[in-house]
Amino acid sequence: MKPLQLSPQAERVPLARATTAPPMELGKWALGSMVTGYVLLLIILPIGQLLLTTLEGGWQRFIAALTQPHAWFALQITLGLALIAAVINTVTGTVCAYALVRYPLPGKRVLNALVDLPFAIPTAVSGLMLLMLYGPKSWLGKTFSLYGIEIVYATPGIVLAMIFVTFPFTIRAVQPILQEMGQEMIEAARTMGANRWQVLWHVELPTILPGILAGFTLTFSRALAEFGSVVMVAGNIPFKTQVASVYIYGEVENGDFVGAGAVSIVLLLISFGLLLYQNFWMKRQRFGWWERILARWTRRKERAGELENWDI
Amino acid sequence: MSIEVRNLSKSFVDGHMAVRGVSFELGEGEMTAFLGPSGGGKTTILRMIAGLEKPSGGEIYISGQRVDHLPPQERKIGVVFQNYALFKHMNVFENVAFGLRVQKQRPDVIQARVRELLRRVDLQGLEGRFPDQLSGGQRQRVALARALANEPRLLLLDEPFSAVDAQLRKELRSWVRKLQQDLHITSIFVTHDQQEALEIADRVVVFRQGQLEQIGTPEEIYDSPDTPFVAAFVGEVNRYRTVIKNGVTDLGVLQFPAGNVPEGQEVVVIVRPENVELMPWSAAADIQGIVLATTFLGEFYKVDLELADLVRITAHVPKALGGALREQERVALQIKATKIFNVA
Repeated sequence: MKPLQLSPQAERVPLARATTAPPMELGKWALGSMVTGYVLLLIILPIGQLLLTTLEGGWQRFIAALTQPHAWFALQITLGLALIAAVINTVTGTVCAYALVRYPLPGKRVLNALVDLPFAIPTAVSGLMLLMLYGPKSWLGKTFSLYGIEIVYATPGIVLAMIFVTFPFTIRAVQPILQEMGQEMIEAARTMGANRWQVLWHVELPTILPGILAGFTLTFSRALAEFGSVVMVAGNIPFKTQVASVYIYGEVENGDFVGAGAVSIVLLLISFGLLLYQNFWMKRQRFGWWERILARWTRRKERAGELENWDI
Repeated sequence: MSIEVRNLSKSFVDGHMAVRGVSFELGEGEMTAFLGPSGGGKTTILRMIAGLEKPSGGEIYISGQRVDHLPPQERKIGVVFQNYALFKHMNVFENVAFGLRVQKQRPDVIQARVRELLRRVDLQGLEGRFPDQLSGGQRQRVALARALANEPRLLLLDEPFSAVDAQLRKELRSWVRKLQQDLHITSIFVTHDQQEALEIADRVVVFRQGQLEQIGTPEEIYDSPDTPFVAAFVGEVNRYRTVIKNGVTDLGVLQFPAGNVPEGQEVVVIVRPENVELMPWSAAADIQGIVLATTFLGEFYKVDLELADLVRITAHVPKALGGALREQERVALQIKATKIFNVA
């Protein structure tokens, strides 16, 4: 008896198994191709058609459509204002999330529920609300115009609309991380000699940084795309309040698909780039760079070591 | 680096009194165990000493300095948390260096000190790892190195061995004990495991319902418990409630001399199973019993017996004897030691 030696037959068994797919494998394959097909149909196909239609006339037409003054202005103002809205919302959203998690605010549950409201309200309705509040006939709009500040049908109105519709993003991205973080890390830092500010900068902020950055990218992408509320509050004034999505709509109405497509492709590329950044790059980072920046900021005059040589 | 606690108390906002007027003093360089069931207040006391919880009353002194009004960062203490609470976004080196960095030490001092600490806890070569890339035991050692970085006067450990498996727990606790002795650092650890407390502490403080039940060396706690609760908590016991009658306990065949306990006094009698000795049956024996059940527990047998008058008792007997016992077998018993507590 040679029980340890594999017979030729035994060696063949796994091979045989690998070639005949059991029913489970078939099911998996079917499901896999269904999902792939669905994604293809729903996402890849429209994007492909956009690229095809826009680039039909060649690169020069594409460039020309993009550098057309209306288009170029719309893109610039959209990017700039979306960035402003994203920065404002990221900062205020982080503060709101922090307050909601860390402090026993009165009416906290109601506040927390209200945060999601901008998601639920149709954007045209959001725009209308802002228009009514800040418009020329309202008390608030009148007060602002007394001081020469235009909100409605001007850039501040666009930023306001963008901020309103993207309000929940950062809060909802930061809140769960803060909650999960709990108190222990903070307490540990305190016992190691850190004061409240040091805890905030070196422990809490780096921990919630992925959430903050996720909130920022989401807010920025969404603000770039906003149409309904912006057009309601700021209208469609070329070289003043015409943002990219509104421009695209106008071009389609005029029957210029290449003009609409060119701007669309730029928006698409930016969104896609942010998405990639979000999914692949950011998740691998451990934010050592944050600590490095902090160290540079807080570099202090070197002090002589105060630790006596402790006998360890 | 002694530590003294005077009349310390803590009530939470919900009105729950977690700690009720606790006072004790611990010696320098000692390892003390805070032992007790959950809800006994031991963790709350530890957190008050650390400065993470504000006392409702009482005083805390470290090396003669009153600290109960100081924030944690000014107390010069090191804390190892139950789940270690490592900074997830920092690698091992940065975790250990944190305390030195916030104290604004010079970079070369930090380098040297962190290397030294990591050597101490045997984690060289793992400086670049992040907490999620470490095993439970390694995480605990990082937590320990981190707590020691600022040369604390006092090391506090909150259930330090509860998050690791049984085998590792044993290794870790003797290792922590050795490190503590090498550094000669005054330490307190919280545990609900009496074995752990007896094994590595110089001194054990038993808490119950927010009050100090007993403080003493492991031997004192085990051999001369002050209360029936302590006796039952730090080991197996047979526990009887009865009165003193004719100078002995009124427990049928178990008539233990009352000593100076007055006649008619209600008492609790404690007999540890290892103090119950079984012998071959003889009609002349004072105490006789019948074996109800035997249970093999590895190092010994646990034998449940019924005595006359339906009094039951549990004995721990050596393997050689326990293996030979049969159910319903008659045996003679001898009680080698008992402890009698007055019931208030």
